[in-house]
Amino acid sequence: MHLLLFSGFLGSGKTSLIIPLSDAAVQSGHRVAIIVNEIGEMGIDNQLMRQLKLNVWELVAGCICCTLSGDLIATLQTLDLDYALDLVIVEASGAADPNSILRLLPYYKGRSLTSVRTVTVVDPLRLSILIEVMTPLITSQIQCADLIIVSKNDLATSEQIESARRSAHEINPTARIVSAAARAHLEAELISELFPWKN
Amino acid sequence: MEELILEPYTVNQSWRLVGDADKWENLISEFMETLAHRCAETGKGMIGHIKALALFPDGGYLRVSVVSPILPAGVEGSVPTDCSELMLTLNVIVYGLGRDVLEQLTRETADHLTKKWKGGMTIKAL
Repeated sequence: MHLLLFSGFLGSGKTSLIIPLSDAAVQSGHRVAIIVNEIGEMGIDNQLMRQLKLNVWELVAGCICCTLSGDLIATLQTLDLDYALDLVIVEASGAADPNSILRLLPYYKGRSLTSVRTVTVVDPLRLSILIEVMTPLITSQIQCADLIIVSKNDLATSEQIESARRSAHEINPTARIVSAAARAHLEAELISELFPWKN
Repeated sequence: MEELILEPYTVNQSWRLVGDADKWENLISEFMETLAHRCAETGKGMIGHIKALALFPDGGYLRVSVVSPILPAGVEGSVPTDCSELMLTLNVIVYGLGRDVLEQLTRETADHLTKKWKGGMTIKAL
């Protein structure tokens, strides 16, 4: 079972990327589950994903990096025991520190995870202000990424996109940085980049 | 910097609209953009994410998202024709404002828009 952890501030576009990614994985014959974490009392993204017939598990009213950390591990173990999944996509809440989530994974006692990859989504329309106001969280989200996706490239100017790429690179010089549109469409190249297997 | 409080406010609302059943996208977008403005106007709120999912009784949905008082709402989905009501789940995630304040701003904004659009809104249990 591969694990893909999606991190990124509130409203950065994680759900809009996960939906077509999950669709593409299912279309290519893989078994996929999505664990969605939202800090509101009732989830929005999980309801949407259910509307779209995706296999979604919700963890709401808290954050999987702290208050719901046990629930995340329990859900991963349930998925491992009851479903022969190829891929679990974890959508962390926008307020979550992915480093704390990664530190939890040794407590997972199911079949060993074939791969763990962290993808951080950054919003070029807001990144500069968020780095100023939410410095520790945004820095941590970018620092721990294997792949950084600068989202909303259909809404942002080329200067905003370039500035976001530069800021992300300064914080995490080793991560690969790509960009994607806000709408529910992913380029085949990005899908291949995100999938832990070869098509 | 001083740590900002984070107390998300979640509500289920049933909205009704007569005569303008094709205007749902405009109404819900205006509702959420106005709410973002009201939160920012307090001088203490920093928008994290104001997002909603509107479900229509006969199928169809709208997902509406606002991340800033100066950016338009993002909308996905489609509205069925001649649909006079919808169920909206709204998450208001704003740093710096308590749940009570968010609840009040949400209620006032909805009241204002239901009058403007000649519609109705009732809050449903979560």
